[in-house]
Amino acid sequence: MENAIELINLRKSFGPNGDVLKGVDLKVPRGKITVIIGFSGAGKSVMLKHILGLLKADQGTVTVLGQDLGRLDEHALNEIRKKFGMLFQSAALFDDMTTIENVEFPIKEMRRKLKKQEIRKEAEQRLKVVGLGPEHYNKYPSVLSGGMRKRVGLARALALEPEILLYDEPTTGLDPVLAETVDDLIVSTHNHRPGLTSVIISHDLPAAFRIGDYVAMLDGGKIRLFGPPQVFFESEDPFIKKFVHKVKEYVGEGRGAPP
Amino acid sequence: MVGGILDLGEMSTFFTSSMGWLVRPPFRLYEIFEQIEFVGNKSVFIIMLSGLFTGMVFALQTYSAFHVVSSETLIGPTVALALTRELGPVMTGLIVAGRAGAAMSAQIGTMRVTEQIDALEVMGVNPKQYLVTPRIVACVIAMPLLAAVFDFIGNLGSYYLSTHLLNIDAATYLDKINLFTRPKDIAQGLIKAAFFGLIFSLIGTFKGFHTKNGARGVGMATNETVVLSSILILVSDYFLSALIKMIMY
Repeated sequence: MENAIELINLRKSFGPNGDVLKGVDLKVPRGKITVIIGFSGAGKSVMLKHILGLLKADQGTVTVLGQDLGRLDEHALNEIRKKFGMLFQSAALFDDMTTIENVEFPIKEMRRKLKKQEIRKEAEQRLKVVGLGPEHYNKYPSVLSGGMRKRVGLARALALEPEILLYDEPTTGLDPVLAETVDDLIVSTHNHRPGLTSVIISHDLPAAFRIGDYVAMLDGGKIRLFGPPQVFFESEDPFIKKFVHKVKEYVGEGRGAPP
Repeated sequence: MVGGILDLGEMSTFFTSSMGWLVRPPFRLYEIFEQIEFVGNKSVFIIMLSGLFTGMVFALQTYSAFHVVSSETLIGPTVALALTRELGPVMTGLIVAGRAGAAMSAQIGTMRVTEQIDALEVMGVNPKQYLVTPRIVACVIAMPLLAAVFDFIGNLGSYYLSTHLLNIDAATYLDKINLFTRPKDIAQGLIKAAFFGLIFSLIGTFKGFHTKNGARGVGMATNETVVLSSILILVSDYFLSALIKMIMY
């Protein structure tokens, strides 16, 4: 199929005045990097939770890899989740487990037939990919730096070789140098896995246009604009123009560099 | 007040759904044993200490009363019955609720606010099955064992105090216990203890699971767990005792 994820008229509200998503239409293309931008509180994380099946929509459909999540029972939903990997904002590492145990966890859970040594080898492999060597295996998350925690989180997200990789604000709160490192890691991870769909929720606008194949802007509970970064730079919408004007100054060479 | 009643309803659904996971694989045996070690093994020392002094002080106080009517020989069974039927389960319940119940809500609450529970869900692991069910099962298993330790050490303390300080004849002491105490007196205490274990583990895991608002929320959840567990243990103790009296005697 062409689209990894399809949201059609997704609506969600929390309580009487808590309309968060007011009819979101989004098609996330397979095999590409899609960045979802929007101001804080626009509903990006809520949308993400719908994609993961952690929230149920009030109205509309959420289709992931061809399956309508609304129609799936708990068991089938769990099966779909095996195809996801997610990097949480603060990595959400299990703090009662060491680095290597964190990465081993999803493998242990989902592929129970593997032997201990095989699980260990797979975990070590994932950590190597994100640049973490044996000296870090037995450390607990509390002694790791923020950047290292993100890397462990990414290794864990990649543990089961997912088809869709989700990032929830991967660079928020990081210094610019580290942020760029993380962005590069996202791109190289994507490039090393043909067919992988990467979805990034971010409000780092320059980065979004630098690394995204496609950018979606969530505003007022709806997708205001969607397309390759080009579409944003060429838009006549005054709001988008003002928005982009500020960003243009920061975007350098990258997947979405303006003409 | 209404909030409290709504909570109760939510807790029942929480309990039923968590228990439903007991019969579905994976069975989380490792996690259950891990929790039994935490709740049980690690509480033994404090339970022994508490049991010892509770037994001793109770013997001391009973002596004052019985001495007046020259019935010192009844100290043995009085202390034994008080310990096995009430003091054992209730004290164990309160102590372990404060220790392990609080720890459960703090740990799970922290996991909630740092998105670790979301991470579990995203990985296809049911957080209730992984976190809640093992804890509840572990408490129901560990609590009677701990109460038994409390009862035993308490009686031991009472025995030594009575025979060495209060000059009660050892043989009489033991003989009277045998005369008045029945297995069902011990059994009912252990059943109560299991029930108290259920109470604080359910409250602890529930409060932790539903924590909001960061560190402050975790603190509140922990506080509420200990307070609510303690109150419910004491209140249910009365009703359980009344029920047991009706059924067994």
